[in-house]
Amino acid sequence: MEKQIIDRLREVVGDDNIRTTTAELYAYSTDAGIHRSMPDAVLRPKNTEEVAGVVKLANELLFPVVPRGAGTALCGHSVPVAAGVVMDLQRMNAIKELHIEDLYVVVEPGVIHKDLNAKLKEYGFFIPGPSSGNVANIGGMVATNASGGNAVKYGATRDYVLGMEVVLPTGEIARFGSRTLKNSAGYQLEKLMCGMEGTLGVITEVNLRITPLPEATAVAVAVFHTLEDAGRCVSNIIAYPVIPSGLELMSRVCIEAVNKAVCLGLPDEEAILLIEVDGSSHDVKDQIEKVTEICKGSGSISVDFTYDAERKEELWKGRKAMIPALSKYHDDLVTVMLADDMAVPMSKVPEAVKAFQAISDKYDIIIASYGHSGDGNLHTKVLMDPTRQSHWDQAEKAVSEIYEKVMELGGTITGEHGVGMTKAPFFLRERESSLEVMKVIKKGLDPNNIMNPYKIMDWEENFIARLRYHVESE
Amino acid sequence: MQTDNLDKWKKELVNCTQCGFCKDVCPIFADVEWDSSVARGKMALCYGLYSGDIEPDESVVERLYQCTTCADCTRRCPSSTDVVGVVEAVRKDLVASDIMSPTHRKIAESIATLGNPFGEDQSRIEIFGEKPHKAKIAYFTGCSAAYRNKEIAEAGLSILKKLGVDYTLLDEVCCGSVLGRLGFSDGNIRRQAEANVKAIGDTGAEIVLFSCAGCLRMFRKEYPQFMELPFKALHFIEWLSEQEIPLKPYGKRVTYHDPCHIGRHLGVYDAPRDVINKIPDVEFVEMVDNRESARCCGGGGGVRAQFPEISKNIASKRVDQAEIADVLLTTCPFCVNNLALGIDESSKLVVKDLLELVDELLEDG
Ligand SMILES: Cc1cc2nc3c(=O)[nH]c(=O)nc-3n(C[C@H](O)[C@H](O)[C@H](O)COP(=O)(O)OP(=O)(O)OC[C@H]3O[C@@H](n4cnc5c(N)ncnc54)[C@H](O)[C@@H]3O)c2cc1C
Ligand code: SF4
Ligand code: SF4
Repeated sequence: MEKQIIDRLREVVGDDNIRTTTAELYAYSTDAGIHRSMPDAVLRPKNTEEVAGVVKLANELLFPVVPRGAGTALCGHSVPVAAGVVMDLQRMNAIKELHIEDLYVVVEPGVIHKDLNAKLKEYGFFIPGPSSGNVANIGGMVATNASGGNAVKYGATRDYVLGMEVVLPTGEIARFGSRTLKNSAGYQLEKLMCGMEGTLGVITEVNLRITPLPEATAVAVAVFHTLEDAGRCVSNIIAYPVIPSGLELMSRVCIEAVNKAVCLGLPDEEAILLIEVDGSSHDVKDQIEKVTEICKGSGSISVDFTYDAERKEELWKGRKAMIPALSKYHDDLVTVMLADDMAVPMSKVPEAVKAFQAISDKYDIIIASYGHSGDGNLHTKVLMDPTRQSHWDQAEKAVSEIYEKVMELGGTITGEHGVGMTKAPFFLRERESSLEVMKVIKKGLDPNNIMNPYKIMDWEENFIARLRYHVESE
Repeated sequence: MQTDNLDKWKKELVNCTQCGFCKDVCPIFADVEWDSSVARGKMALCYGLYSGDIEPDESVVERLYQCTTCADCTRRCPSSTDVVGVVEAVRKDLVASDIMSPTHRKIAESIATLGNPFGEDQSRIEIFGEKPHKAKIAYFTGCSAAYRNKEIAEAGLSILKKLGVDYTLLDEVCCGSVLGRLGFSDGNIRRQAEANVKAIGDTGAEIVLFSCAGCLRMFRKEYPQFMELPFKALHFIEWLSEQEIPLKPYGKRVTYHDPCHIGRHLGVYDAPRDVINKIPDVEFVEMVDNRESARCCGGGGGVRAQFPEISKNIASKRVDQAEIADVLLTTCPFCVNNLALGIDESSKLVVKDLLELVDELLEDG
């Protein structure tokens, strides 16, 4: 990037908030995924005007802008593949307005999910979010439409977005949506921004609906001899109907990994379900009875509910720690972010899990299956040595087959993390008939292709291209 | 630059999934805010140096020395990545490649020639006026309590005298902790270890007491990698927790800061609380972050010497948590010193080493 451009950017954000040093360029060349590409500069704007100033300049001088929150996205979302600037929005972290009586808040994009919930807790409210919510930012959550284990009951981030302020790719500041809980005024552009992954603008303010904290919660571990029994149990619970606030499936590899990393003493079996129910005390009691009965009828060896806050926290901690805990499973292998959040119709969960296991055996590669199966969301994690070509070769084949199977079952290759780069090649197939519309929208809003270019429908390379690891051929 | 040390840490380098969970706790990131400053950033930079993606220019080296080695990231890290191990390895490679700050070079030279990092030319024997002799219990004062916070060593000595213990001081030199944290080679540390183990051997001591968390970590964790130790290394407070100590009442509200180097690094959490609970009438309250999740004081890992502003800002955050009490106790002179810097002029909070308080309350004879 030419010095004149850097100087003009410096004028917009100030000297202290622009960096072109090796340390910063390298640190911002990845997210929590597998890819790497270096930006030319990293900026930290403090307000909407500075964001708009940068975007206007980019649109005039034609350099890419990649918005970034906490950088915890898993598919290369915030990796600057065509260089340009990474715009770190963590400084825009004000909770601007609290309207508890109107059930909404107004926040800047850099607010950390955990911090917002800590504030809301004072009033008895919360907003659901991803298991990375201790660090993930609201802007990143909206831009990826993040959701967590309680999505089956509470929905995804999109369901909480009422309105927002966005700096469009041409630098204009637009307001979408409203401050009201209901809104039928034309195109729901605020929802279009959910899942746009920084390709349609920079979100600079969000109006979010809030929801009351449940009076009581209880968590159970239900243990099964087989994965199918566990999967069938999920369908039986939902169809009853009981809508739990969490319904997590863990397969053997995950159970072993979590036990090893966080010493939770989970039972040594093929599958366990972590079931959370919440609501009024009366409701919770009622749900516990129903769920216990359903579990037993679905072949559960044991089901054990706890109200104990410490034990509940511990169980969820184990689940939240799952992705990285798998790294401790094998001395030479680590977890690699590949094929990690497919979703299938709930009744297809057992079939999907079975198929993933067969694929894992076929390619002799450890693939751990787990997920927020209450909403059909299944995670698989590949354990491999990411510096060995042969491991990537096997992983590529296995992951491709997993995606094929998911599409065959009528599912989607990404239920919560988004597309970025890693999922793009299969996304192009899954959403073939939507691509033209998406391209028209992108072209219309971003004629010069400056906002996070070459992502989602515009990524043309393989899904294991531009790896952040140095890979050796054997 | 050479990467001989980093090469041994390949598994940890790829074990870090770059999930970013450490942003939640890293005290340096809370102050510096750029992503390169958090544990994840440092792990990325180390991978970059290991793989040859980047060169150790000033920006990279600066970040790699902005780590207090508090290990809070490892506690929070879902895959328990040993960030401190990697950071100390990369620092070793930097030093071995002759990349180091003039401040650090001076510290190492002072330790090699004078036996302490402060450029002080008096020996411990001269400072305390007590010669080493045969005794069952020895007290290793450490450099900070000998040259900077002498009141702590004096409290230790006074306690031993009041309890009528047959103890000896030592002809000690710097334990080498600062060398290890800054990246000086094992050879340098072994030299310090050998001198100290010999000094202790000469007294025949079976138990050696420490009042500095950094020194104790060296004796418990690092020296045993070089040699077998024919004595038991205990924090003074661990030893006191098992003694009968007649204490006067203390009608104040106190809290306790766990030094990273005996807390997360050695797992000593109960002993200081046990000692505090021996004090009649004391009101003990825990800070929000305590024991395993205690926030760092900001002084360690060479940060204080090279980045005093960052160190002070981190201390202020920790001290804020302690405002629930009248007295903030800890068990390391380095922490006492750094936490004191974080206290705002308007605050009435007092920082003290627990040894000082015990001495103050201990009945004579
Ligand atoms: C251990 C771990 C567990 C996870 N668990 C979950 C989970 O349970 N559910 C889930 O959904 N996800 C999960 N994720 C993925 C990720 O944490 C979420 O997608 C999160 O919402 C991303 O937030 P962020 O602030 O880190 O965004 P970033 O990673 O910084 O950015 C994500 C995308 O959003 C764009 N973006 C960010 N801010 C803005 C803005 N203000 N305007 C426009 N675009 C913007 C970026 O350009 C990028 O494309 C997990 C990740 C990790 C590492
Ligand atoms: S050090 Fe641990 S917590 Fe931090 S990014 Fe790496 S894996 Fe995540
Ligand atoms: S040891 Fe402490 S200062 Fe160093 S990276 Fe980890 S959390 Fe940050």
